[in-house]
Amino acid sequence: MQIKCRVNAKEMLFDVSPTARVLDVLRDAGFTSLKEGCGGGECGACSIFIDKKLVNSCLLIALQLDGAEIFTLEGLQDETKEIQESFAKGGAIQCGFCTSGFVLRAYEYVKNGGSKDEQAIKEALDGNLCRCTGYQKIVESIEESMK
Amino acid sequence: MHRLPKDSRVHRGEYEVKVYRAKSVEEALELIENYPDFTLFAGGSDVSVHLQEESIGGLIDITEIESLKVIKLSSKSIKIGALVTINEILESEEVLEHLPLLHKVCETFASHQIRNIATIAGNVINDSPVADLIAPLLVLNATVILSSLESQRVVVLEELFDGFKSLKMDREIVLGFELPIEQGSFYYRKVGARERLNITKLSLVMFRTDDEYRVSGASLNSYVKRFKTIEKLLESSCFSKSELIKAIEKDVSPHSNAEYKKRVLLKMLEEALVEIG
Repeated sequence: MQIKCRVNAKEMLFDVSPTARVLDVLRDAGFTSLKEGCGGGECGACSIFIDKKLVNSCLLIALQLDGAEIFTLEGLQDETKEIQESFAKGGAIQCGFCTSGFVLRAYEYVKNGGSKDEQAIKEALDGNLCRCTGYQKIVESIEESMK
Repeated sequence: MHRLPKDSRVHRGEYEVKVYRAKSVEEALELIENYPDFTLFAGGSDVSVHLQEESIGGLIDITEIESLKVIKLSSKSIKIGALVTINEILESEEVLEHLPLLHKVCETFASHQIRNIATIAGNVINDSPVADLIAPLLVLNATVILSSLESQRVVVLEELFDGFKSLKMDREIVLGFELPIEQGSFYYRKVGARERLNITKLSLVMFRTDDEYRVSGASLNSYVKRFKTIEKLLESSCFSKSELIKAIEKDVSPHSNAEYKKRVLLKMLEEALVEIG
């Protein structure tokens, strides 16, 4: 099936099965910021924006790309610069596998006027898992980027 | 060392499958009529998982039917379109004001990323015994609006369920749900391995109006249903703990960890009665 969409503001055409996972389709196309963690919609490492909404690309199928506007972390470098720096400075990154998912979620949360309250930030991260940091430094780094 | 076959990971879920796109309810219904074994596809958070595990005949993509994405408030009720996502329910001020129980349930539904695509009808139609939304919709006396090619019907949601994964729908599509606006107090608690993104071990939902108690919960039977014996008992002014235990035995038949679930349910019922009794 021919699938037309925009990825990071560029027109793209994929010729793939409509049931192929978007995670695989995009990674095969070179967008490797999205990672396969759990592959079942639990860890958020494969998060991308589709039509301005953050979703798990492991739960999307190619069919859903058709006509959509996609952003991966590769296409949001300027927009997420502050958060990325805050993560680096605050020690919110250890192995880094989950980081692109966290950065995108933090970016979306801050952009949508999320509260600075620690509990609210923790709740906002309910779709992202990190097995290294214990979350505290991630939460602090997001708080810091909002100052 | 065990090695996976080379292509098994990258191409998981990738096989030839027919896809039809419906732009309107009528188109969707015609497709359902012509391809009754195809699967309806909306947010995909449930269907795409099945796709990876087993092959299906084909998909009818209904994501572009805009008329099913509306939340509408009237004087007596709120109508929620089938394709409204969980996050859209959470963002709705009407729902927060008039259906606070539904808002609360949506807060702990899966995760932010999944709430962005999962739809209300998807959670109901998937007909899982652990579905988060069925129990609250049941106690809120929701009706479901169904359409076939020939006609529309409105039924009390409870009538759709009759056993494990045996939804009583025939070549129909869910247009939406209508929830009456009622005064009442509620209790909701979901027990799982963690606070968020958990698959319900069991949950209890109670809605109390001036006249009645409505009680339901997930993961306590082969399908989600109202707990009628418990409801009747709560409505009698005076009852003992042993009567409550007997009522639980009548209403609940968990597939796994039955004794644990019944004990926890009893504790939750007691807690609910303290909170909103």
